[in-house]
Amino acid sequence: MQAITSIAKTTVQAWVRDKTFYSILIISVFVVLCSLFLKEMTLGNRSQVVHDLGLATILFFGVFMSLFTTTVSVKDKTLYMILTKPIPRFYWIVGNYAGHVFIVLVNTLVLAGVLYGLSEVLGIPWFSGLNYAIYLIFLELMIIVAVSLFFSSFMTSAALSKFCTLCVVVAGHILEETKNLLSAGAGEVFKPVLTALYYLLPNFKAFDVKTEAVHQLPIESSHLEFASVYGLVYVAILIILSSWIFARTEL
Amino acid sequence: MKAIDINNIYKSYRVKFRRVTVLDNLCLQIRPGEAFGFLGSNGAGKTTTLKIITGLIRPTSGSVQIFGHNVDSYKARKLVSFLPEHPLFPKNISAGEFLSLSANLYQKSVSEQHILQLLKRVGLEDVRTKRVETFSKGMRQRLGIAQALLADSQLLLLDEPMSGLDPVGRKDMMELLQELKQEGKTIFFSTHILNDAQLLCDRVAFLKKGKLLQVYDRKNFLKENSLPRTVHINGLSPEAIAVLNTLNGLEAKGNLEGTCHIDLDADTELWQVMEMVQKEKAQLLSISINPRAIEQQFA
Repeated sequence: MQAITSIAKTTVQAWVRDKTFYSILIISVFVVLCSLFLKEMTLGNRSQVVHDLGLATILFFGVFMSLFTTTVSVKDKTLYMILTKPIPRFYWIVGNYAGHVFIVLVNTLVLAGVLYGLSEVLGIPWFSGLNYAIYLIFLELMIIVAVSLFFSSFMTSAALSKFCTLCVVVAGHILEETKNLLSAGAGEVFKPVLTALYYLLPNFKAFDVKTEAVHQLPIESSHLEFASVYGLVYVAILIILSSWIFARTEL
Repeated sequence: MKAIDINNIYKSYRVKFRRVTVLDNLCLQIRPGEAFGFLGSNGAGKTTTLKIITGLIRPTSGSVQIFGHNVDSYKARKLVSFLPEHPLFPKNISAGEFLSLSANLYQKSVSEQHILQLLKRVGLEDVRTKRVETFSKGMRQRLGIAQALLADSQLLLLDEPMSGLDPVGRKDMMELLQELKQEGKTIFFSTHILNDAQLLCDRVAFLKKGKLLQVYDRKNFLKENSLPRTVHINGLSPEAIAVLNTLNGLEAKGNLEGTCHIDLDADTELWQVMEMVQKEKAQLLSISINPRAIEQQFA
């Protein structure tokens, strides 16, 4: 446990001391604050504009942060100084995952704090639905970090690993549309492939309650429970798979 | 019990549509407490062997045991410290933090004081809080040695520890390795520099294209690979030069500035020249090894 904690701590230290981390954080805070000016240019409800943009920014920069920080490659020679120590390789996977999730959590909390502060300043009420939406965004980011780590566990190129993760993120957001296509009978030829992908890839629609949160619509507790279990099980499977592959990878 | 017991290691990689053999039935036994030089030209398979011993890669066939334990076992890993040729450390980490991390990975509890002592021993106490990416190659190598000291590993695996070091760095590294050898650590290091092997090793092995050519102990290695040398001496009298020229396998040439240039072949005893230097109270300027002879070892 001490070894895993140390690896996680080293991962966090590496990013907390990196200018890139603060650049991403500052830019994302700036984008959230931009909703101050956007509200003047839109016809919609002021609170909806601020919260909609705020939640979208938390998700967008969370995905960006997950992709940017997580992806390494098995050809990364810093691994030699870690993996030749008396630790099983899955320690590195788990420690690295924990460290990156912590970075993403900090990013999410800072942006959520800025959004909350902005709402207070503007006198916009803060609804509980927004807390749920932020929680589900964080769960989604946890999956993205796990996907990124999964590709990193066997790919020799960090760029390719990033690209594959991005593809999964995009595909995960359009899975519902794919299901609708299938049920409409379109694309019979690709039906087995699309069906397989539907069950294989993470369905990020399950974590999207932004519309409900912004429009103060009720969010079922059963939906939150399902999303939590789905997210955590998906992460666990990916971590186990990554560990299994990484233990067999030649460095 | 052997420190390292390599049994019929065969390693091949698939490169596009063909299989390339990197190690071909390598058998090698390293005794506890000895310094062993693993020599070979670039691409001979030295790093691959070290990677197999450290568990970073697996052999296609064959087995490796470390102090009687399978190379992948926790017990074996605990006894080993590895220093790669170009040691790269985690991003944005300081020397002190890296040693703390290493201690945790070795599951050892060490105090800040102990870490400071280790850094002092390798000459890095002044840069304890500096980030490792700002370190020179020599400093990184010394930090790598510090982690081995911290772990108190019985076996040190070093991949080309002297390559890319300046003369001072080489001297420091050699002194550190000599100290560790005296402490009874087993040192297994790869190099393509014969001189380093001569200075440190009890035994050496030559590897060529993945095959083990020969294993020498120190005495035989020095004898069979004694290299032609060139000696420069100042202040030898013409009579003394004439006497030296009568010795077998030796050619001494004096010049007007009083400097004498002597070529010794492999069979000549250097001590005969040294005796003359002492007798004549002359000044020994240098002894150099003919570099062509070094290349011939790998030919």
